Amino acid sequence: MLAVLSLSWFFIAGLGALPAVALARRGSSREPANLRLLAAIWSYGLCLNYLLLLLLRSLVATLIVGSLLALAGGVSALWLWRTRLHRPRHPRCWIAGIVLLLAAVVVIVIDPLDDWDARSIWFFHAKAIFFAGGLWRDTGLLIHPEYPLLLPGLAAQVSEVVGFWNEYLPKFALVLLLPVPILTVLGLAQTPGAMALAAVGFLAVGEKYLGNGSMDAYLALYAAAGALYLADWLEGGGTVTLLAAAGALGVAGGLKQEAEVVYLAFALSTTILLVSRRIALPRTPVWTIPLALLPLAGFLLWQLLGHLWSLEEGGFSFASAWPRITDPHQFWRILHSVMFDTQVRIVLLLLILVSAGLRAQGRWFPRSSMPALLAGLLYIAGFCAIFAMTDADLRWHLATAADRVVRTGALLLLIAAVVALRSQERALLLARSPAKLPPEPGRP
Amino acid sequence: MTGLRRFGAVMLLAVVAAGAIHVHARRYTGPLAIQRYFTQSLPRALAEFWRPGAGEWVLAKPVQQALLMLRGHGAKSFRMSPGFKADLEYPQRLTEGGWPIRLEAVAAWYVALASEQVPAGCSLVEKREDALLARCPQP
Repeated sequence: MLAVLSLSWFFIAGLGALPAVALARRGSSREPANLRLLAAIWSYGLCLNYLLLLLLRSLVATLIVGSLLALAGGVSALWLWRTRLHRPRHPRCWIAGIVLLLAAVVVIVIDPLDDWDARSIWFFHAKAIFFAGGLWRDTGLLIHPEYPLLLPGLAAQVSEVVGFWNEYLPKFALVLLLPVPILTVLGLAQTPGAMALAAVGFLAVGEKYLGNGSMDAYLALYAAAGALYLADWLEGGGTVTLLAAAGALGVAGGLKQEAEVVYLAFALSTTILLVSRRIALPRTPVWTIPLALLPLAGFLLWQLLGHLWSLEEGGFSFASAWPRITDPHQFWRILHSVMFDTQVRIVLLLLILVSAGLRAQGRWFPRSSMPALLAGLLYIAGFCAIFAMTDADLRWHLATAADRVVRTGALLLLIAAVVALRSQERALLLARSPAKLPPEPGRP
Repeated sequence: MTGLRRFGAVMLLAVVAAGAIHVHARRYTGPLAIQRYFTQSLPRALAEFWRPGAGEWVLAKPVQQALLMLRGHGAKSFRMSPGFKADLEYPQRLTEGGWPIRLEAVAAWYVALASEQVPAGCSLVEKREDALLARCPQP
């Protein structure tokens, strides 16, 4: 059984080999150990697996077709990259990453499903898909049927492969979500301060959320990874960083509905910054555009299926918002729980400290950090509006959800601080020894 | 051999790190916390990991017993007593734990707490310490 589960790593990596194949053929990147490329491969693998499940519906069909595609993709990528394989540049970081991943396997799988949301929503959906043999209209998604199914689909596939359901093994699907956040942190190895800040921020999400299947935690990590890769792309990291960002944001769309707010926040922030000429988009080859949009296909297809199957649930209305916005007590309650949440306050303090450090060098926040900063603020403001619109009891809704959903906004702001700190470290490194300046991400 | 040793060291480090994270996350305190992980949590998980349906010990006792009885009698659907429904957690856990046995208002199988009376017209099929299973005529 362990051998069968081990194949899941090759399954996801092989399915996601598309960026590696495309980049090798176009000669855009010459470094196979490029962590951004590995992150792109993994997130594309997760997104394409989700897309296959939504297209084919049957678990067995998805696994068979997925395996064939993974085999073809994996062999092609290895063949195309065969002359460029070499030892990784930071072996200690790799060992730390592997230890962390293995520790996560033990920590996550050792406890049976216990958390309320994990049992009642994510893994209940997985169980329903597993017993129905796939995703059909009558599969039996009883609670929040409109929630995206990337993790439930993955957990159902794990159970299908081992042949039975229990309360431990489906959690292995959570482990399969961890490589991208780990690779994101390891990708900062050349700037230790920024790496430490990102590592602390990611680990602060906590085992309670990561280990027992809270999708809010994984959404926050993937949104943050997407924001960091987007900053890399704006800094001239090349196509590989754009694909890594697209992959991470694509996975986010399959994890939880709040990803729609993340997408909206990124779209708005990028538009505002482009119109105000704060940022400029790097020149991108035309062939990368469809490739960068591919990870969103699962998200869009699930929206369509949800509409066709009438899965939409209400619960929010403008009629609820007006009395709350006009009542100072209720308005303050929303602001206090969302905008002034402890996580947000800590990250804002960090941003002030990093900003002070930059000013001491006579510099401003790097432009590449702006999308994450603005997207984080817009996401948090957006959730103030969403909580104002809830048809449920406001106090109950804030108490049960605010600190979970605001985590994504806090991590987006943290990424702005990480990008700024990285820029500061690079400037210091350049001042001390220009020869030791690390090469730009993704560049050969 | 060096490679094998290195692999062993990485694995050992990962298991110890996992223990530390597990102990910290569960907020176990005292000098025996890490020992509890290696002598209880880890061996239990390793023993149960490979069994279908394992891990339901996290559920409340009445729910566990109701699930065992429903499965034991091959039920396809069930309904719950007022006592079961009154609890915040039991209906939810029984619905998701019992799947694909479905919760239906007109089901013949009736699950109740052991302290409750079986409704008139229903016959008791099995009774355990905390829960009972009855068969009722379908309305």
